[in-house]
Amino acid sequence: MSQLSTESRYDSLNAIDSSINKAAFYFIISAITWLILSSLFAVIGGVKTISPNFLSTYEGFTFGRIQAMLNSTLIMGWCSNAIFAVAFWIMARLSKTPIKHGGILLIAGIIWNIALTLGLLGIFIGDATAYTWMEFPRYTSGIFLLAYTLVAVWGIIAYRHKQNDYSYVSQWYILGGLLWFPWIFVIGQFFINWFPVRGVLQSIVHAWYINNVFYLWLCPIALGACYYFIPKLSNTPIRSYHMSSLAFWTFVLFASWSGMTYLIGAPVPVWLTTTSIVFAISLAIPTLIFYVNLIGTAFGNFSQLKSNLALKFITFGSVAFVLHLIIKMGLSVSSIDAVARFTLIYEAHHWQLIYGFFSMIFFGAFYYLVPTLLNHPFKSFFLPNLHFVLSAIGIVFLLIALYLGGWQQGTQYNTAELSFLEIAQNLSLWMQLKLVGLSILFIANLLFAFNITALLLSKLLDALPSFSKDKLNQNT
Amino acid sequence: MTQENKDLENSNELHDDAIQEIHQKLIKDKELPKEGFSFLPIALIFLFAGVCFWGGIHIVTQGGEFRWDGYHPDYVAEDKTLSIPQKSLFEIGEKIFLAQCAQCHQNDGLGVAGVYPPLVDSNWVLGHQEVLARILINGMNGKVIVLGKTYNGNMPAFGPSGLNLKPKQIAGVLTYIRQEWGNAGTEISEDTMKNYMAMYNARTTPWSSEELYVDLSPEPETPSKELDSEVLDENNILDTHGEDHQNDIKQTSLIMSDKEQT
Amino acid sequence: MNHFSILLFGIFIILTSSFLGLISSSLNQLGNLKQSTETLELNDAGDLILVEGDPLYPMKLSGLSEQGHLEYIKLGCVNCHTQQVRREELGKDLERGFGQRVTVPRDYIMQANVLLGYSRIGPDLSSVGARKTDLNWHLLHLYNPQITSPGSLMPPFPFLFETVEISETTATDNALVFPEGNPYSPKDSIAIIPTKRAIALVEYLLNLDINYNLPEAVVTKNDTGE
Repeated sequence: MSQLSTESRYDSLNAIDSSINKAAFYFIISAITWLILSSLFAVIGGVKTISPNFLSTYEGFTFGRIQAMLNSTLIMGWCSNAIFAVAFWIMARLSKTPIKHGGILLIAGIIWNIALTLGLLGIFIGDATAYTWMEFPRYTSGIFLLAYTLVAVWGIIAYRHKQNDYSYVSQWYILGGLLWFPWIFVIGQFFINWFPVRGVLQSIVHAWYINNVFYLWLCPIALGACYYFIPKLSNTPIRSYHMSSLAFWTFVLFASWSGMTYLIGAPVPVWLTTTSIVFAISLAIPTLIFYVNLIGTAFGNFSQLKSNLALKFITFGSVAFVLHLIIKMGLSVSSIDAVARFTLIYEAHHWQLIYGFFSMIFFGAFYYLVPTLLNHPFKSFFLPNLHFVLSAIGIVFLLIALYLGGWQQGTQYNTAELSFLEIAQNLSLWMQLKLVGLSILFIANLLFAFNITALLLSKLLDALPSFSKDKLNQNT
Repeated sequence: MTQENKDLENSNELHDDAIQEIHQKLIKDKELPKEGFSFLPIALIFLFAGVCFWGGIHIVTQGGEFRWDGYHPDYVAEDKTLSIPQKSLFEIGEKIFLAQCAQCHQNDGLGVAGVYPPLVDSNWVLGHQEVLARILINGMNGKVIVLGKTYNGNMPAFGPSGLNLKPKQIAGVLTYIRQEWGNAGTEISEDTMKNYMAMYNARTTPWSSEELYVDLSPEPETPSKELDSEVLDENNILDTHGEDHQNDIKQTSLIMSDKEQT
Repeated sequence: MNHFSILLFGIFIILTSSFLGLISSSLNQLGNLKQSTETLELNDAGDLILVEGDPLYPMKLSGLSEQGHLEYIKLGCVNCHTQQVRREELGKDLERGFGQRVTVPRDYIMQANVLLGYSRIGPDLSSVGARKTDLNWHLLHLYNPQITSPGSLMPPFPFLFETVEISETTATDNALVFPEGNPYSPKDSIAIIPTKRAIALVEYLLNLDINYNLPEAVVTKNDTGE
């Protein structure tokens, strides 16, 4: 298929992989650290919704702040670091360019994590902003931006002379995501934190920000990874691939316009929400293509799916994503919204995107990326497979608890005879199930961290004797 | 060395170069040859057409006419203006009284003994409308006897030489003090007040209690429509009819909202 | 390379379109809203103008309420409480007495941070000041929600209160008044004094009230449904 000989291709791949090694491992390790921390926050928050007195004497652990720390660690910690680790590697692989000046990326990553640490401490002492998913205090936004500027500087330096071939759709998604993020971030910070607009305009910008961080930052990168890994691992070309560019353009256009569905019924002019509802429903078009492209391809080669660990994760994520989009369409129908609005259903919907889709894709990507970068495969797949099973069970548990609980909450809310207190009390069963799901996920994430660390350690242990042997040889 | 690399070792995987090449080809060939009939493109065409058709209609019919004040999908621009509540003179007067007059005359209208005269049961308040109007428009100075007690105060003007209240507002205050706290005076209409203001706006000095009863015109009857119509132009007559009045507001509120939009 | 420029252009144009269509246009429409009086008046030119001397709505928050507003943000209340009343066919907000009318953009123009909220684990607060007018109730509710609403999922905020031994020298004028025989009441010799933060937060809550008329939104429901 390629004109290159096996030998030279190997060399070039190795050059790409080793070029990114240091930065990639830094991002991988910090992503996993933030993931563990975030699932710890999630469990604490889950306990607090069942017994409100838990840790209640400490101001820093009050539910609102736990929730803010959870959201920040998820988005800016786990998701962003995972993106930096995987996205640049896929880009380098697909454009066959080694990553030069990886040191800049490393510095960017360090600054990013400093900003996040500072932000978490800020939230802990009460500096959180009032806007969900962008709670990190306003003084950290500049540092995040500085870090991302370094990424951009690196991009310009590394690619200034390159005439890249952007022929594959993964590259489109990743390039788009990397270019959109700083823009969304600056607009959000500008209109809400730096020069606040008046009144509900803040809520409009906020809804736009959340929606675009989800659908133009997390989703494109994860989709890019899907389009890269699924054909690669299942050894089958993407089914109906010629539709994928249509899916790309329709998805990003419709998703970026659908943000105001967060404000259905809110005090904003109704044309805003109506417009977004129409675009949200239009997401049916890319959803159908994603279904055929991703799930169709993955299930097309079933033996690979059964035997390949990373593919299992990525297929699970793709299914969760298609379901997520279908639910998003459903939630924008106003009769469904009348029940679902302000209930646990929206929480479930976010979990489904972040855990069900994004995290599962990136678990799979990490399970592929780390052994490849290390040149050191897993000896046993038992624990990684256990991680998959635990994650899948945890996510399904969590989502079922929240969707069903949320639906019950919404229908009871619309039964005016039930007092608000009764509705909250009736939620306790679902809250307990949610805590069970979160706890399973916490254990699963610990297992994930263990698997990756164990692989790193075993590689180091393997390297040690050979290193000393070399030294010995030199001495003699 | 080669065995170490997972990519090359595993023949079950597509290589990176291959991913690009195969898919590049697929774009040109559209479909894999083995597939004879494809469901996807047809479904997409129908879906696209359906979404465009429904979406266009939905945005136009449920979009609140793209106006800043359309908060309901069924919003129609004209309906909104009817919702402006028309407050009675009494209610208007209550607000203004509590904001402007109650510091001296007190919320209960009893005034402060020896300093500010009471309004409850006062013949000044319940007497001739023009007297009351004169006091409000131009203010009042010097000694005044209310309910048998003498006060020597300084009532400020609320007409153009003072706080510059509108006729409707003064009418509201007067109506309020004539009808609150068990007072049972008549309403003083906005038109009556306009009339008086036309007469006394030019005066800049406050009245004294002796002057007040000089040269009074006959007190308008309530409802004062017939009497006042002599001095009103045609527009104002239309204005007093409920329906036409609302139509007026309808048009003007459109103007207002247009202004707010910009 | 041609391909690449089209890609970049598309990436640029998509986000720009959504920014212009959703944010710029609403900035344009809603950026200049001003306070209004409850009734408007026709002037001679036929325009509707504010009635002079009438109070302006929405009212500006007092200094203390403003501090309470910041406490509300600091404690993350927005994670469980909304401040918006939806129209009738979208939910029972009006029937439940969360407000006597739907909320509109003008209601929020005087607030430094708009706290519409996204979740109703707790009730809506846009008119809580009209529903619950008792200062002591609010303080008790913050000190321990189980006292005022047994079974509530709301966390207690004991760190907003000081616990002092009652003696002749301590001032306990503003100590919390506990209901008789409540299991959560402290010992008789102990008084719970709200800190400034608690007072400010409650002052803010007491001032939350949207039951005034605006030209575009008129109070429709007269029973508060409390």
